[in-house]
Amino acid sequence: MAIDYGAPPLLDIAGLHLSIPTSGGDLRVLRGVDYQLWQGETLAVVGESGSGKSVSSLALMGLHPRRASVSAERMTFDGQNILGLSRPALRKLRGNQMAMIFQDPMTSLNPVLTIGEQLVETYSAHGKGSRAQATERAIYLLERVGIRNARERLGQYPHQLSGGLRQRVVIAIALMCNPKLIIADEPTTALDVTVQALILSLLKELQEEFGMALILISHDIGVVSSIADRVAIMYAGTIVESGGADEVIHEPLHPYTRGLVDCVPRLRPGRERKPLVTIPGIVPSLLGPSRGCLFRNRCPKALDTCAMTDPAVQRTASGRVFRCIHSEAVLHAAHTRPADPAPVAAGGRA
Amino acid sequence: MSGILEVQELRVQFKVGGSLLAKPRTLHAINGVSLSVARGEVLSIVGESGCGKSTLARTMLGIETPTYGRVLLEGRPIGDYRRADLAAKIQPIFQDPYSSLNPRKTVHDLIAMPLLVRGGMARREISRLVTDTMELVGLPRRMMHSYPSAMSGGQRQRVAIARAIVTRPEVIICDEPTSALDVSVQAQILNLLDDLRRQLNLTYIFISHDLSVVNHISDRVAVIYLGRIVEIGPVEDVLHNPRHPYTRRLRASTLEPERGVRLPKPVFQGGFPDPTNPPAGCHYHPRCSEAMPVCQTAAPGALRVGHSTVACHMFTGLADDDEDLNPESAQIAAGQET
Amino acid sequence: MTDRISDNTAMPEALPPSPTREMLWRATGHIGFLIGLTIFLTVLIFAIFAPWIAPHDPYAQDLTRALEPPVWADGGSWGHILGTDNLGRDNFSRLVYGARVTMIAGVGATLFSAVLGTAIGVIGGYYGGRIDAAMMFLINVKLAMPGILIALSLVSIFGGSLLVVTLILGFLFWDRFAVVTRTATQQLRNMEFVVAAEVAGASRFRILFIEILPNLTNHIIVVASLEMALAILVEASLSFLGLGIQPPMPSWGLMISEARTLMFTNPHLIMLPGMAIFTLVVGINLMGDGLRDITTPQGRG
Repeated sequence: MAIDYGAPPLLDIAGLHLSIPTSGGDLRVLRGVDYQLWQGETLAVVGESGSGKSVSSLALMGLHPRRASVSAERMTFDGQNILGLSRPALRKLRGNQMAMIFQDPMTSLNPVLTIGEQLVETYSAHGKGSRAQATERAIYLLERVGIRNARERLGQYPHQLSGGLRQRVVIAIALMCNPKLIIADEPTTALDVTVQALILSLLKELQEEFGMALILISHDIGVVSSIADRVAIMYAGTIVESGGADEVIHEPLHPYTRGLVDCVPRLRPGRERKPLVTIPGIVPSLLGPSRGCLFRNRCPKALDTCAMTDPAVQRTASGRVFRCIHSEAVLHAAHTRPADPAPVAAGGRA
Repeated sequence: MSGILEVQELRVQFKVGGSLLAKPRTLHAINGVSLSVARGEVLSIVGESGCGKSTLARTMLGIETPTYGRVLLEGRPIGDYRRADLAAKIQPIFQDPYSSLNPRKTVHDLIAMPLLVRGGMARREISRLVTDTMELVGLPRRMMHSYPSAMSGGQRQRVAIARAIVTRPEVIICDEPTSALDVSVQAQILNLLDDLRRQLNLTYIFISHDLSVVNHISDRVAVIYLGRIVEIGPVEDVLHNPRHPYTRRLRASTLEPERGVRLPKPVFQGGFPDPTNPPAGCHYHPRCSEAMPVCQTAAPGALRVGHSTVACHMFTGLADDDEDLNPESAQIAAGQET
Repeated sequence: MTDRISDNTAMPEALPPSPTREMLWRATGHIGFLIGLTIFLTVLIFAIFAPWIAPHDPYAQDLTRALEPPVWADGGSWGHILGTDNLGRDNFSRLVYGARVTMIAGVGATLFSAVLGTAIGVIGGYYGGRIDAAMMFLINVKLAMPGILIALSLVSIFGGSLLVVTLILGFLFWDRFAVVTRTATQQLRNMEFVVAAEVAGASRFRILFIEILPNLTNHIIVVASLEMALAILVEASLSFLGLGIQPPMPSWGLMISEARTLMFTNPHLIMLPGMAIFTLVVGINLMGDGLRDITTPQGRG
């Protein structure tokens, strides 16, 4: 699959901050997020709850909570600055050029409207064409996402469909206006594994056919490694590591990425019943400003200096980016040392 | 082999959709399940949503009443136990640590609940047990008077586990205990469950949809499809040498962070069948890539293949000869005759 | 791991503040709630300490000093700050004692209806099925009744003592408690903590009173504050119509009724108790709306 990394990126975000006022002070949910996304590319944003992985995408669509304050150094979509855009202007962009697929297809579909009405609504709301054209496109897309008897399905209500079919409808709605970017927030988490595989293959196939960019927000590293081109790992409101999916997942540099990958149980025979690798401690508070690396109290490689200075953003020769006080060589050597507690259990790294 | 917990030819049916005008339909949530769990063993029950695995769990806990068949705990039908005596021997851990803890109670009161219900214990004795149990599950003592809202998901699940083991039960029914948790927390909780099993000699029925987690924690696996066991046996056989087409399908759909793991080829399939009107013959035949004419008419009997027991017509004639000697396959067969 | 970190205190664990603290924080920032609470507490203090606050006996008539104007008008005196009525009774003292009647009727009726309505709602919501259908039937019957008319006829049968009025008001307002607690109980019943208690063999009593009821208190308090305002208004209306509190007991509604004939010559006699009712009802409503805002967590960050 050809992604033209020489071209200007479709989405370019730098220094994205977002905070929400609460009783204890400002909850600084995003603390300087940077990423770029090219046409036709799949970027997976991975993190645990509270890492800010969903909020970062909601913010770029203008769907973050109203009382939150957002700032960024740069936020462009398709060459257009979207940072200062008003909510109505963002609404026009949404659905038209960007579309979103949420986790739970039951709540993202309106239960009192038929499938057909919901498909056509997005299309005509953005003035793309007549109702007849919209209906034709709706039928084409429903067939395209693997729904048989599409014409009859148009008159059905969401509750008449199974979870997998509902998510297919949601995907069809997202495709109605032929968007350049689709953001899928845990699109398969609510689905059974057999359905999950089908929906992911479908997304991948459609992405190649329509040439869209895809941001996949997920906590499931298995899902991510099977579908993403690049991965961004988020922790406490920053991207701690990003780069090519295979590299990041199979040769992680940042200690957090490594912990995250290692603590997933594997489906492989001959398991020795040994304990899983864990990341000790819990996520730090996001209240107020902070100094130093936010992962330091859970990090096996933390030094005293980690508390003093913010970790430097480093770039490797292969274009990976990570935030850590240690150099690439140190992290790499530490990870491949045989005495390291994890490698056997984690495997996949020759 | 008589296990600590035995399920014999269990059927659980519900009436659904009844109203003044519509006749209620019968939902066959569990449709002839037999299994036996040995003391100290971890048996996982795997299946997709709606397959009946949660109903099976609720029936083992005595919350759901079997329509037919029975559940034996230490050789005695669970219906014969006094509620509180049963609770002292078999306890649940639920999926969602947000809904399983009463937000108005402190950690101490939450954990002490089964003891308070049972009664007959001095307050000091209860407090001592609660403190001991908190230590076992790795909760700091200072949290004793905290409320669940001040705790993380992992800590809440530890409270739920403490509540389940405070009566020192024999069997714990874990209903997707980690699927609502983050992966790093999931690892902590799985390790804790494994430690506790060894320390307290517990038996687990572990209900899950995640084969990787199942592979990590269990000794044996039962795969359920639409209220029937389609394959049961040791982890090594069921997960790493799956025989039943449905188990193979589940195995292939599991995505792992391994090099070279790619999405499986999409298989076009019918949707999940209606449990109030299950397909005739083998329940899986409408989705099965190997379906034969016989599958549409006759439900397959249980066949012994290798170390596991499989309910699939593909293995008729290929099965080992000793199938009659194997009590588990006989149980499955008995459950699926009609 | 963590032992190498020198400033652990600089990185607290990500624990949300306790719910009580969070609510207090929201309460102190809610101006409407604070105003409402102040009004309510002021009237409550007047009601409780009436004998010490009132300068005169509210029943003592002195026809020689009838219809004295309040202190700010011509001919007013500090002896009777708010003047006297047509029987020469001190208006201020009657207002203070009237607060007592208002509060007893309002709080008493609300307590009574809260207990009745919550019992019906919780039983229907928890047991479901036929029992729920029976409870729903009760609620529907109540909703279909012309409440005020029935109250009027009952008072005319039993007479208008404070006790009778309070009980009747209680019977008028339980339905909203029942509807709200029923829905909330239906949701709670399916929560896994209730299932856990059932598995442990907890008695019905234990499940209803220890597991479920404490989770309903927020709902009950919010409904109660709004219903109390209504109860106070209806008590005043009944008394105004002569079917509630009977003279000479001082009730705000009754005071308005008694001053009717003097509306054009001595308008303050109507305006004073009218203002009292108005202020208290607005205050309680502000408090109730505030409580609802404070107890329902908005979208979590």
